[in-house]
Amino acid sequence: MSMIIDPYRFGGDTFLAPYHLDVVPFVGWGSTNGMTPAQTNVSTALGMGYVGSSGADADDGDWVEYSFHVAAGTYTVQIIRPSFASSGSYDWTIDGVSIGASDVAYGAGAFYNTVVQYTSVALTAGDHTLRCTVNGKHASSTDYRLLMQMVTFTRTGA
Amino acid sequence: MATVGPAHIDIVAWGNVKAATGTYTRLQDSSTLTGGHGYDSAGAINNYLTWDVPLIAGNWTITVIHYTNINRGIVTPSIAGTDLATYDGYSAGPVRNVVAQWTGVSVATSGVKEFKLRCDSKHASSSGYYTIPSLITFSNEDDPTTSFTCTGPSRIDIVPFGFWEHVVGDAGARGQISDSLGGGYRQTNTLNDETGWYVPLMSGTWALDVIYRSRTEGGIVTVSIDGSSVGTIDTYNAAPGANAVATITGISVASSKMALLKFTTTSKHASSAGYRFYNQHIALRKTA
Repeated sequence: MSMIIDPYRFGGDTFLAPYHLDVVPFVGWGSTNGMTPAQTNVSTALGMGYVGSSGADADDGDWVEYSFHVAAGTYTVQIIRPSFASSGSYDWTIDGVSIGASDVAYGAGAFYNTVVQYTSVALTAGDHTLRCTVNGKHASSTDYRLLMQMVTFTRTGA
Repeated sequence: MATVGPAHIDIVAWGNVKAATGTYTRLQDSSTLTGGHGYDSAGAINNYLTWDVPLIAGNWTITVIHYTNINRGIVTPSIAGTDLATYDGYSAGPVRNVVAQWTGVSVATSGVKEFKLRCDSKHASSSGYYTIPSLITFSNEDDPTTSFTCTGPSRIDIVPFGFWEHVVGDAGARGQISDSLGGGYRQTNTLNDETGWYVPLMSGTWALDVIYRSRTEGGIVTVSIDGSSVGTIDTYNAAPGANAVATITGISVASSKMALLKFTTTSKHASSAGYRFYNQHIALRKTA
């Protein structure tokens, strides 16, 4: 398997950029809009918790961003998140471009560890920004909460 | 032309895999470091899980934290097709957070390598071929400040209960507890204890977030990068608890480098009864 050339960043050096990247979202977000992410511990969740907007802080249009860095290629992006009766519906974008269909995060209760998967996401080598934006909600949802547990990028091809 | 790459890589096994035979399955477990596992639920002989990791040439320490029980197999890890010594996942009853570790693992050429956990035999008393990892950590044993010349990503997550590249004093212990984000912590206990990780930092401005467990005997920790203090964290709290967050912003990195991010317990709050530091998670992010 070849190494990844990332010259814009490293002045011609060969940089071994990740093919597999785990972003633990509990801390370290970048810009936000309309929300202050907060952590909640829960013993039945993978990662033992989640991060996101509280019920008092949830509105349509809220968003949060995370930066990440990968090698060039095609990726599967998996988001592990709760499904609450108060969850909104999410648009996931990378560098402003949608990576797939809207993610309706509503669940009729409080469920954890829901896996949302987007495949064949083409990424160039280097830094990128993942954004999750609340865009509406399921008809039965009571609010627009934005919640997540983990984001994983796995390279599947060139 | 130099070849550079990360010196520390954490893979949370329930995140995802590159490939798996059988059925890759996530198992939530409130008694486990990271809060869960990723495994092959078919549990057949020779089934495997793989991940791609970017490994610079040199020597590495590899750590797998896993869950043993009566139906586990004997696992052969491999890197790019080269087998390492096996570990036996069998135990007479369930034991979580078992550490299997290989040191001095030589990587001859830099590149993205496939790391595989293959379950290819079993203990005579075992009833199955399962292997159930929760965390895998790759840590470069060489001195990255001299063997690495450049830098990398804009975000770095470090799971501190995996492995650390630098330690002075108390090596601490892993603690698993269900009230903690991430499922646990790694602790140090005494004054002047140091723990550290090598991180590839691009020139610019960075922020550091630390999730920790505050304690009545918590110490004050000085955070430094290559020996220069960037801030302190007072982990004392009269009403202690998990999931406290400290953020240090405006960390200026003048030139891109592989740097030692270090946590040193340098003092304590006047009311604190000790110098403990319980570190749950670290995230570095480039802000400018």
